[in-house]
Amino acid sequence: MVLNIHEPIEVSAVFTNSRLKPVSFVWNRRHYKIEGITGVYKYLIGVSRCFGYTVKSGGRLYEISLNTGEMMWRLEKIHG
Amino acid sequence: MARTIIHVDMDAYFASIEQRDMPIYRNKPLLVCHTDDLSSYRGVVAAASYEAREYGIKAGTSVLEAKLKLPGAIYIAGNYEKYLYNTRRLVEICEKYTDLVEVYSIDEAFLDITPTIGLFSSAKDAAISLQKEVEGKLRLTCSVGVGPNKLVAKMASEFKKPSGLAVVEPKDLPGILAPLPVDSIPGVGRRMAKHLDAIGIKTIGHLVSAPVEILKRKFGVIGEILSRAAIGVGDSPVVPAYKGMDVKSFGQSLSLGKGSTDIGYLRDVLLGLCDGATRRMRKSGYLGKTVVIYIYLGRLFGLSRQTSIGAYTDLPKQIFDTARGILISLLEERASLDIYPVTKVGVSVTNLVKKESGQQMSVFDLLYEKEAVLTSIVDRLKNKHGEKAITRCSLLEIRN
Repeated sequence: MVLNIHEPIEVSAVFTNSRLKPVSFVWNRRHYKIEGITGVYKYLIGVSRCFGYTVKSGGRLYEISLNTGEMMWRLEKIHG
Repeated sequence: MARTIIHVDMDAYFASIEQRDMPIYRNKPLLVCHTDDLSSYRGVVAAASYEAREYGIKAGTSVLEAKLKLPGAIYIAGNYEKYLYNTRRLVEICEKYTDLVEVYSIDEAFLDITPTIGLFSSAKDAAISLQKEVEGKLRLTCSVGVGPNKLVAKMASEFKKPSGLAVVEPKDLPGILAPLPVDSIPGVGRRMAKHLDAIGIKTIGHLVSAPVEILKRKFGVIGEILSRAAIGVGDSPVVPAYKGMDVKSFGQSLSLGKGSTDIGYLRDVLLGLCDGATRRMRKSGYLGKTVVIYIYLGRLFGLSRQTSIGAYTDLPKQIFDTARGILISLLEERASLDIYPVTKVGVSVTNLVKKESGQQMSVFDLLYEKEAVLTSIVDRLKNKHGEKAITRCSLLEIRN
């Protein structure tokens, strides 16, 4: 089951080993602790550099993205 | 000097990437689909995991057919940005082995290791090392074929999938190739295999025995190419991206699932395809003069027609005006349209020239001056904000 969301979210992230690592996010006023990152990739939207992450939380997988041009995080999809 | 070519073919590429990143999909039948609407039956399967392939589903199967065969499978839309990122990383790995790397498709590459083979104890060792590095760095498996040319290397990578490795030495070629079916030769599809079968040629061995004159008479220049391919002869070079290749055409197509008989809808689809094809032409700096349209009616047959326009162009409206005329004439000719809906529409622009090569101004440039300005603004918006930043109103329904 995949849910397409594409909504802005608030994300707490840390820089570690020259990498950006999201640790938790808030969506619909609910807090989700990120238990693990299972995939990362980079891409461009126009001239904006973007990062896509697949993260685990509460037995589900969430696809979140960061658009560095807009400095905006989004929840893209929920799997599971 | 004998050449040594490696062909790397990623195993069930899109599905494997998703299974790697989404542990909940591992060991399950997963279908990555080329569609925006997974609740519909439109679109085609872009990649099937090995678990799904056991049910006869593979890339190219329609979503409709897949859902009938395997309703319980996991269906997800493809994430091509993610796959392209992985391909770039694959190419980076390949370029450590040689600078002669040709990206053949999003999940395949050829490496000409002839100049660097001395750095490895053997071609097989280079292939094993490459395969291990891909698995270690990308956490994906690939099948690797090694041969004296691209043709044989590509065929060899198919021998043992997934995670296969096959090295074909020139001396072993006749024995290895002879028992294989003719469609093992890259480029020999179902239709060609059927024509060959009709004259008693089922295996590559049969093809070797067939007199080249007969093959030439039956298939023209292709007959001679087939004859050479059957004995494993191929001299096409590995062309790295930086050396560039001559582009022959720009095209785009869309599969319409159950199909449509709505001419307005088909016209809008065609407009979107013309937008897409000409956008890529402008990005690559090409102009084209010949427009080819092809449609599939039901599952039975396809039709194709082409026409040339007055001048070279890269503007969507000019291409679309011509394409629309061809489409309508094709549809009008087919009284059977109501019985057989259009299931696929494709447009291709050929007869290309590089934009820099000093094409002359024509009356068309004046006719389409406003469109040229508008197209240039749309291109700039898309360059800055991405391909989805702006679209035509008439295409909103299709895009959604």
